[in-house]
Amino acid sequence: MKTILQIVTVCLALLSASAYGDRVPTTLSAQSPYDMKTTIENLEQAIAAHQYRVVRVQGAYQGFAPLNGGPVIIYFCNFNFLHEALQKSMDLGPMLPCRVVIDDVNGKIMVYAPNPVVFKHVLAGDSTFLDKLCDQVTHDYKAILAEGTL
Amino acid sequence: MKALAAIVLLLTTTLCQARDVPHPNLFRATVNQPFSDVMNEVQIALEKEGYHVLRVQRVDYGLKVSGYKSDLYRIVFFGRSDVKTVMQERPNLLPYLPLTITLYREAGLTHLVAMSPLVVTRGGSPSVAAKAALWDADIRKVFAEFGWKPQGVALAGSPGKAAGRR
Repeated sequence: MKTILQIVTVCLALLSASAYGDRVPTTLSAQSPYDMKTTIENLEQAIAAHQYRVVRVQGAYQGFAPLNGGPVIIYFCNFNFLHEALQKSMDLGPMLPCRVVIDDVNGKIMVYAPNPVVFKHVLAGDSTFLDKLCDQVTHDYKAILAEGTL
Repeated sequence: MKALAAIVLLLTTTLCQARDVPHPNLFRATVNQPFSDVMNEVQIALEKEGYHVLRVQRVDYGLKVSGYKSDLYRIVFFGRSDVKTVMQERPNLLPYLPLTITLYREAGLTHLVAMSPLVVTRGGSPSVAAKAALWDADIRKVFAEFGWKPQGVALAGSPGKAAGRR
């Protein structure tokens, strides 16, 4: 009886997590002790160290007129990993490409990344695969943020 | 005891299958039209709602350069002035903006997928939530042009637009 109650409790916790998945923090963030330029360089090195390739570095407002500087986005991808993931689900578009944003917020250099848990609760498909994928990307984002702001 | 075990089994099964059911904030559409035509139509539909395409990310190109065969897989980044305003006011939302729609080709069909901005703006300021609600409604309109229907409920609109689409 005790075991069954424990199982019920775990199931209810999982159900609760699923139902309230939209309330997880939407963004991973870290404060950098360096200036904008150095932080970008550090992040690029951390991205490469984790087997991702920088696809593009650009102003976040690029494409909006007028272009007036501001935050910088680094887009990056591990195409080997992506190729494997797309074999399981082609609907990963909202997660792509991986990106970190570097912004000067009142003199503090902040780095932001999407929280893959957000996608985990929205994307459809094999839940075991999505869990594994999002856990891996979360791990990589956290490591890149930590190493880029160390 | 058996009834309790059955409830546990049912709950577990429900949880395991939960993500096979489309999430209401994930928009998907499939059309039997050439990719380039759909890409053009997406751009026109976005412009009709006041957005402009900022850039198109060629994911398939990156895959090919890395040695993988890939059919067309593109991400359309789009925005307008109120998107930029939120980017300036809410830096923590920067990883999710500009907005995107993904288009890809698979099995001879063109697929579109996008996530509602409401997913990441819940719990934020009312002004940002209001803007996100507008963007969400606009993306729904764009997807409706490609035959998407919210949760099986028919959208009011011109059925003729979806002719020849799947």
